[in-house]
Amino acid sequence: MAVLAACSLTSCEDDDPKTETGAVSIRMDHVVGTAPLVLGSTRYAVGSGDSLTVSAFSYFVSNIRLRRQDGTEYAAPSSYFLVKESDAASKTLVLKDVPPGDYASMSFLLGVDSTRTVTEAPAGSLDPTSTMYWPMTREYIFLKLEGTSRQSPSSALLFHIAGYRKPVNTLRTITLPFTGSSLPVRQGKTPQVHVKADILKALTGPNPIRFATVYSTMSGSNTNQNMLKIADNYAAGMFRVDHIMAN
Amino acid sequence: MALNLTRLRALLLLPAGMLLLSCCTDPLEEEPVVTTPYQLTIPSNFPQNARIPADNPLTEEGVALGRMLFYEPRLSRDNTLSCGSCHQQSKAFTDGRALAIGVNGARHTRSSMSLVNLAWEPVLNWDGAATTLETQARLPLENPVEMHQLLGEGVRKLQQTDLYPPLFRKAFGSTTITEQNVLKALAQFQRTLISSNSRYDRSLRRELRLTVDEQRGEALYNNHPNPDLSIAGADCMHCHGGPLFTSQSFHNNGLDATFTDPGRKGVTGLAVDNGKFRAPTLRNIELTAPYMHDGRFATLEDVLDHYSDHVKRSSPNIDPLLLDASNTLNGTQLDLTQTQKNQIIAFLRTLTDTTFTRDKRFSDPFKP
Repeated sequence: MAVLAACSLTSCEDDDPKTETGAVSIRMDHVVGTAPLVLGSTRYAVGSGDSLTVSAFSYFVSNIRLRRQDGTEYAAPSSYFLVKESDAASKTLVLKDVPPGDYASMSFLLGVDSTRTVTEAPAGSLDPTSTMYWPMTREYIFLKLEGTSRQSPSSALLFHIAGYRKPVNTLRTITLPFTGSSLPVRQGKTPQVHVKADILKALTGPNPIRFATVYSTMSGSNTNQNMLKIADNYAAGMFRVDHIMAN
Repeated sequence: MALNLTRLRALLLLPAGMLLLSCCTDPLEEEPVVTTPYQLTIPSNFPQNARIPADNPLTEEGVALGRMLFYEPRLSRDNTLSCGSCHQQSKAFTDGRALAIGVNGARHTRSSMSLVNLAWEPVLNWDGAATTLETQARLPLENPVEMHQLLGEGVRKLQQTDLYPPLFRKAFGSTTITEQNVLKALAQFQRTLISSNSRYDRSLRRELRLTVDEQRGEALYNNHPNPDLSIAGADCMHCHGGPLFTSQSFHNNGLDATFTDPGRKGVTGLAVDNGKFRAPTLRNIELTAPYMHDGRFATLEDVLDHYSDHVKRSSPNIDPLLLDASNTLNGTQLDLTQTQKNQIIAFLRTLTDTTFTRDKRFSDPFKP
């Protein structure tokens, strides 16, 4: 009996050992300027004099690529992650079966590529609860920032950034160099990249957002232009690599 | 392949467990049992990630036992109430009351929730007090204003019957009934409660077309209003979106300016969760009146009136979506017309699934 039980435990583990690869863990930390993001009533000042609270912050990360110092790349297959501030586990993205090497930078798509969006079945399956999917246009919401502001005419802030079709293409590729150190991927190891995402950068950046006029990308007359402005803002430096932990 | 593996596991693991029991049970009676995997049909338009724990796979024997336990009044203190008392199939597993009533007429502070598509729910109860079906059932079983009996006492009652010990052996390999196995069987049965044959589902499968009013209601359901661009909307989908018609998370929907029930905060202790409740699925919503966590609204018309005209904007932690959504330029409420309200309700009624409410597999096995 004991022999039988022992067999059943080991026999499951002999399939295709990926001995040649390592893994990479990417941890997303969300901050507002220098303060950690706390959902709820914490009020944060924007440099402009406006202020906000944040009730929800979520976004898609997809098409992750790691670039070696010699310029060659590893594209992580089928890498789609929905990151939510409200779900701690979702803030760590794990790439398995990464070829060993010293990587100098990473890039990802903030959002979901058009191919995946139009070919998947059932539609919207990356977020079955549809909090990040709009069935009317069959589009994913790439990034969602919700909260309140005393400057907003409605008191609400509702920034839902979506759209992969021109002229409202808000897909942005984010490239993050591992400045000062490389990411050493070794067989059986899982080094970690700590990324910081600063929400203020989505509101300042090249296109300063003032809540008295821009408070929702779903209400008002210039919603498409406002989505593009915010997308350009967050592409211009919301994400940065804080540090790398080899292990 | 999957079937073979399940059988293999049952054969290998049960004898190992038996070694512990072999001193005190008849070895012949406790020979390993072979269970039959229950084939759960996942609707094609549903997420494919149904949550079935590895240590509680669905079996024909386990589901059948769970169905009996669901309708078993011995699990209540005075043998008068079963799960099915407050979760009646004909009402999409609700009870038709504003507030549930427990043994001896004890009054609950919340309304019975409907039970449907639970295999996909990451959290259960109005406040998310349970995260698995295996742990959830103990709450109503033991709660003084519900069935008010320690599960251990229920196990003792079941063990004394002629009926249950052989059924537990068929499902779990032993005539000795355990609390864990009662909970596992109840969870297995509840995971089979899948509703996916409403008129809405059939329209997705192109078996029928929704009426014009129902289609207009669906568009309102899914649109955020933007009066600048002449887009009408009711914004329902943010909290009740997707094929399961729920965000599976917690929201303050502006019912009150101050709270008598802390809702989600009672579980997390976080001020930000004060007054938030789980957005329930709207599948079969026509059958689950009265509405809200405290059953304050008798009809769907009352519900639409609330969201359209009476949201308490000053409520702490109110969902910002309720503040922004208005069909009136610079409006402060959603401001739906009577026609729009009627169209939304017409759409909501397309979510009624009478195949589900009449399915013999879910009915009380003790009744003819």
